[in-house]
Formats: sequence, structure tokens, C-alpha cells
Amino acid sequence: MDIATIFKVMMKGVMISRNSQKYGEMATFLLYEENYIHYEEVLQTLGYELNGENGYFFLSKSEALNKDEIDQFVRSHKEVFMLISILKQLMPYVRSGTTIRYTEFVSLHEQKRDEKMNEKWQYLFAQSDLRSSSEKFFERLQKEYIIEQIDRKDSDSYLVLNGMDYYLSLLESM
Amino acid sequence: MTHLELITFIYEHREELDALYKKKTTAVCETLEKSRLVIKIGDEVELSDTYRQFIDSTLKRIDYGIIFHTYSKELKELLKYKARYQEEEKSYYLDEMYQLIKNIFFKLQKRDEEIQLLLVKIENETSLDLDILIEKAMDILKKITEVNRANNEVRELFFHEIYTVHGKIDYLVDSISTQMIYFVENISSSLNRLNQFIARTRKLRVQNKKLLQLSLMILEEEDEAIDEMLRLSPREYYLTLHRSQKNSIQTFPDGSESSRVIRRLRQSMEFLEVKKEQRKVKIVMPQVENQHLVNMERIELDLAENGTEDIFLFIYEHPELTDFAREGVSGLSLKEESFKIFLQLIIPENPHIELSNTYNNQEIRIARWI
Repeated sequence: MDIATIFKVMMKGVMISRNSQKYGEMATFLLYEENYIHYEEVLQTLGYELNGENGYFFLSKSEALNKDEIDQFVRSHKEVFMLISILKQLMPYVRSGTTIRYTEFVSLHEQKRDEKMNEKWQYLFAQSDLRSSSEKFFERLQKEYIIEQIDRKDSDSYLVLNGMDYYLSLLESM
Repeated sequence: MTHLELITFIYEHREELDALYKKKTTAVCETLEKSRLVIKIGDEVELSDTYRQFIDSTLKRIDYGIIFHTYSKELKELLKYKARYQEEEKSYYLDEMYQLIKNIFFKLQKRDEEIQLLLVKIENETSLDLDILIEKAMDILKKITEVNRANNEVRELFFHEIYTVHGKIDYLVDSISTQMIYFVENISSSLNRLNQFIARTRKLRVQNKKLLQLSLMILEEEDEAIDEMLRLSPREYYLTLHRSQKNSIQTFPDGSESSRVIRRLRQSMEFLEVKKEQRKVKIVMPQVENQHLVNMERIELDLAENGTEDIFLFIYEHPELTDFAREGVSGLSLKEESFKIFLQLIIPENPHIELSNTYNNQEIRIARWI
């Protein structure tokens, strides 16, 4: 493992989590202070900041964001808060490291659906069909590096990544 | 009915019994209804408590409602038989005491297993509401605290009241003493584990409530505070971007930029001086294992040479044990290690050892080396 390989991944906006099967090795590499400082220095010369704590790492821009960027940043974060809120309303025990099942999520959604839940769902998805929008829900969580499919052959089981703690730590600071 | 006939009976009614166990039915055939495997409450039939307990314990399943009975009845009986034995010296009372100690020990062992099962169950619980989960965990905490108190009571009584009654009883108490220390330590770590679980779950509950509140604020567009917080220092935050979307913002380099960035990255890395490491001959040193062995022979020789009024204290203060305590073998205190050696010395018959009926300041029976 080296910092060039990690940069190739992180420059695409990937948040790497220590408990991820895909990126865990990279996160572990950065847990060594020496590697972290070295990578951080290199990134600063390129105009990026390295951020990381509690087993997850991500890049941000060194220079100030413009208005459009900030607007997108805020919008994106609100959507992710909504995603996690729905996930935790249906599966309250979920934390990083938990295994969740798609089929269980859909079944719980059908059982616990109420007016407020529908409103939240509509905030994220225009589709009313629960199954196809649930697939989108899981896809979005994966895109945000909050969950990861455990096995390619098993499309039902997902691992909750350390990346979720990033949003929860923001929540705690509110 | 013989045991074998009972097994056959269970086999013949396995489907109905399974349905009752899974609470899929409340009615069974007349033959089963008349058996003691089930009980009838009103019009409904349920598995008898003893049968359910047998299944749960064999299959290592546990119910949150489990009641941990203490050992007070057995301990009372034990003291009663001790008094009778001391008055009449009939071996019958000794046998009863022996059986009671064994029963109490089996109960301690069962409690230990049940507590471990209960902890695994609650830690992996996903079907309960967090409020109920915390309530159940608090209830279990109360039960384990009670078991902890009862276990200590048993230990005290075994060593202070029962130990000196007869050699046969003493031998049994000695042979289970290490296991009893293990149960007591297990309970103490279970209490810690449960306390941590409760703290974690409480934090999760607060987090979930806050998330719910936040999502409602976003829906009702009362989210200025969130906007302000997020806008305060976005440079430190993660900007999730999906470049396939329309109007995406190029905070992360796109395809055309990435080769330029990698080139710059390589250039900056070229400045790093990497000294060629000189080849060194690897010398493999023989591995020295630290086995933390206590030289029993030396202790015995010193005892024979100097004698002592209290063998346990002699061992406790012996340099062999001082080294042992300093080197720090995990999981064993100096007292526990000394006690183990003490038992190894006094259990085999030794004409030089004289056991007294009194105890030292460490609450260990005083034995003289003569």
C-alpha cells in the first residue's frame, strides 16, 4: 500500500472506512501517524486537506468553497441525514459494524410506514413504488460510503461502515 | 413410564410439541394433553415449565424473564447438616453435605452459563425498541448483581463455615475453589460488559431521537440552524459529489485533471530522498520464553529448612512469588497464585504439615510446617 494508490481512490470522493472490505487496508495504512502526516503534506501541496478520525478518512478542498459548492454541500448532507434517519427509525440498533438486510428493511418499511415516513421518503425519492425506491435507498447509502455489500453473490446483506460516524459526529456537534 | 418410553412418546408427538414450542398451536391430541409434558390453562394447552426449561437449557436458549434463585435454602440446609454432624458424627450428614455442596456448585456453573447466554442475547437483540432494550438490560443488571452477592455468600460460607468439618468435605471445597474464583471473576466482567452495553444503547437512543428531530426540522423547513452549522466550516467536511449528475461541482479532479494531479503528486514524491538500505545479515536469536514458573521445590526446601507457623503467609512472602507478582501473569493475583501453591502443598498427605482450625489475616486456614 502507498499514498499514490490511496490518492487514486480518494480523489474520486471516496470516504474510506477501516471496516470496509474494499478500502479497509487503505484506512489501516493511514492510521499510522507517519503515513498520515506524509500523505497530508503531499495533499496540501495539491490543494486538498486530509480529514480522518474514528476509522474513516476523506478529502476536502483547501481553498474556500464557492456559493454553489456550499449549497450542494448543504443539500447533500441534509439528504444523507434523512437517509440515516429513515434507516435508524426502521432499524434503531444500527451502528457502524452492524449487518443489515435489504429484505428486512423492506418488510419493516411496510410494517412501520406512516404519514411522516412517507413525507421523508418523498423528500428523497419521487417514486411511490416501495421496492424500486428501496433499491435506490440502498444504492444511495452505498454511494455515500455508509454501507457496503458484504458478498457479491449475496445481494441481501450489507455492512454499516465507519463512514456513518462522520454524519453522527456532525449531529452530535449540533 | 420408563425413560426410554418417554423418549419414544416425545418422538411420536414431535410435530405437536414443536408447534406448541413455537406457539403455533394451543390444542393437541388427548394423549399428549393428558401427559405431564403440557399443561392446560382454560381451553389452551401450553408446554409445561419443566419441559420448556429442559429444551431451553439443552439448546442453550434463554428467556429474558429468567429468575435467578439464590442459594439460601441450600445454605441453610448445609449449616443444619453441619450442626447435626458435629453433634452426632453420623456419616449420613456428611454425605448429605457433600451432595448439597455439589448441587450448589452445579447451580453456580449453570448461573454462569445462563448469564453469558443472556448477555449474548441482549447484545445481539434487534427486534426490541431501544427503550425496552435498556429496561431489560437494567433488569438483567439487577439480577446479575444479586447473583454476584449470592456467589460471594456461597464462597464465604464454604471457606469459613464448612471447610473444617471433615477432610472429605475440605477436599471437595479445595477441588472446586479455583472454578469458584473463575465464576466470581466472570460475574464481575459480565457486570462491566452490561454497564458498557447500557451506556452504548443510551447513547444510541439519544442519537436516534436527535436524528428524528433533525429529519422533521428538514421536512418542515425549520433547518436554519443546520444550514448555519454546515456552512460554518465546510472545508473540514466531506463534500459528497457524484460527477455523473448534472451541474456537478468539480471539487475533486475530473478525468482531465487527474493525470495532471498524479503527475504533480509524482513530482512532489521525487523530492523525497530514499536512502538505500544496507543489506544486513539477519541473525536469528533463539527465542527466550518467559514461562513465569514458580519453583515449588525451592519453596518446599526453604520450608523444610526454616519451618513456619503459617505456610500460606510463608508462600505469599517467598521471593519466588515476589518475582511472579512483579512479572505480572495476567489474570492471577499474588494471593490466588499463593493459594494454588498452598493447596498443592497441603492436599497430598505430609507428616510435616499440621492444619489448625484458625484462619490468618488473608482468611486462609493456618497450616504449620513442623
